[in-house]
Amino acid sequence: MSRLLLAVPAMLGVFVVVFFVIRMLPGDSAEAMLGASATDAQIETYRAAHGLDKPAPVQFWIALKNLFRGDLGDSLSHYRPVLSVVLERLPSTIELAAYGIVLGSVFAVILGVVAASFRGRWPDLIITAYSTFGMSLPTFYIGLWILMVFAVKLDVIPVSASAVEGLPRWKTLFGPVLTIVVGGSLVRTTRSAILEILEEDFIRTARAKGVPKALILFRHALGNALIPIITMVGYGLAVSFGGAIVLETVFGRSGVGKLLIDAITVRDYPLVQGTTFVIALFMIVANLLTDVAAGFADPRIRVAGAGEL
Amino acid sequence: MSDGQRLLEIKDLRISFSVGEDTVRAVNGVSLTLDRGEALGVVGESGCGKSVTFSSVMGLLPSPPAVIEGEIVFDGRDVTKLSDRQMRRVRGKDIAMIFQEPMRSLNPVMRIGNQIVEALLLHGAVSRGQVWTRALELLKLVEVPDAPSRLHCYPHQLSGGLRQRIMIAMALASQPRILLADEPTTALDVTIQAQILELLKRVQRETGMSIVIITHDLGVVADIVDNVAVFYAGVIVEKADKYSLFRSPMHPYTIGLLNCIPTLQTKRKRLYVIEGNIPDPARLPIGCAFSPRCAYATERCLTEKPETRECAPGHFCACHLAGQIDPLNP
Repeated sequence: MSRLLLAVPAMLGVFVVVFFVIRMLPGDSAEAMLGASATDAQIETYRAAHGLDKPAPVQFWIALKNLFRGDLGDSLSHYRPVLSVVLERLPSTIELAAYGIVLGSVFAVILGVVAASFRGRWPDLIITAYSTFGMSLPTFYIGLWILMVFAVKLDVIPVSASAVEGLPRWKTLFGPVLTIVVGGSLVRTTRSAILEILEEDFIRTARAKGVPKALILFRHALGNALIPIITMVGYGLAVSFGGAIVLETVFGRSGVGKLLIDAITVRDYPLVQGTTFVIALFMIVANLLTDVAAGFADPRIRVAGAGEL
Repeated sequence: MSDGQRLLEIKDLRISFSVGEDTVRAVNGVSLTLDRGEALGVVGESGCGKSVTFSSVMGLLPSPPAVIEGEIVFDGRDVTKLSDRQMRRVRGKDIAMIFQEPMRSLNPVMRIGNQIVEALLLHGAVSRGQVWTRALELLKLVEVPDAPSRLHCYPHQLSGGLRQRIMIAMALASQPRILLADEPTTALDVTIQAQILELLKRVQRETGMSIVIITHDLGVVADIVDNVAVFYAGVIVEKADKYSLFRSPMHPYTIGLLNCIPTLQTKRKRLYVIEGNIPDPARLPIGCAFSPRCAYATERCLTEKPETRECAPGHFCACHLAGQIDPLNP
């Protein structure tokens, strides 16, 4: 509950910072929208029409009042309410984040457990090398390589998803999801969590009971490793919205991330404001979900509130 | 006793670990027998090889790095030669083990009931339909109060004493023939210690299994064991039935251990201590391992390892001077 209350100042903070930072960028909407050939008079008229002629604090006050009425303003480049533009793009980004997180987590956890169980031997070395490689490369670079291989060489996916109509869903998701999977750091988290837990006394108990190795790994060790793993997955979910900016640009998906980049380019202040606001909201929701999920994985957190039996 | 009674026989067991350049010799030729229904106390300081010896009986030592030589014959089979898969059928089924730290020895994210049921199902002790009934019976056997509701508890909701009872219940799940208890009461309050030992004794009597209690505290086991083996630096320095061991200890180390138990009659103002520390298992003395700390050590003790001799019927001792030292006046 207190977490929910803390979300309010966090959201306001994001709103304030974004508001002033975008206005510090050189150029403004009027120049960007009207182009280099616009006369001074045209620019003045445009600014007055969109309230951009007022001092920044006054603009901020108006935007804040609108925000509390649930109005994120009108987009300067889309000519309709920011909210409807963002909501239209949101499903695409959520879809990408969901597939990326789910597939990425399952894949990474399996690899991490396998690596831990072969500690120091060749499967571990290969998996560790692979994950270090994936983690140390920037997302856009991995994305470009995937495009090179799967779009240019093998031609199984399009170079730009939004440029082709009526694509099957998996073709639009394949590239960016694979990028998330390759670039994830969860393999190492899982591996080190499992290795640490394998040293615990209750693992010795399980072995003394005669529990087979696979069950020790997946039931006893992974069951306990879920707590750090969920924390990492939650973090991954939160940053996936930021990551969407790069992925959607590289793979040409029209999601929230691409929307933000385009909005910054044309200095569509209300749209930048609205998009970052929604992204921030998702990060906070992702954090809350993480806390709830961690509670389910760890009875010591869950039951603590319910009192001792 | 006859061979038909013999359940476990350890023959000249040697266990070493490679640590960097050094070879740490944790167990240096331990021979030991355990009969059906026998309660054996294994006593020694930390690091004397007692836990390592019995971990190897369970096949719980990772090998490598452990190098295990000698034989551990259980029920006619040398368990050191069993494959991992075969060993798993012995572990938990025929030989069960409980540990020192009940606080950390149960899986914190699994309910107590599920952990007991896991043990029951692994070795097919009961049919699937019966497991929960049997789990409840086990909890009652180890005197867990309010047993039905405890099945749904997580370990952190129970006290240390209750957790150790759960550990015992789990160990008893498949009706093992040997229960190895490694310092089962060390981490518990004194009053709880007595309850747990009493419980082990009763369960042993009722089931007829053999039990090995590994401890550093002679006083703890005196009440419930038949025989005592005293470990020092990876060897058994003395083994006898508890009465002759307590009445007429022969090895200077045992004499020292017994003197360490304070009594009201003791006139000494200070507590008795055995001076010095156990030798570094990577650099054991050439002669008797206890000689550097022994008040009676002779030239021979420093250069020649003492053989284990039967100094009185059923009373074994590995000391050149066995029988020549007056235990009452050390």
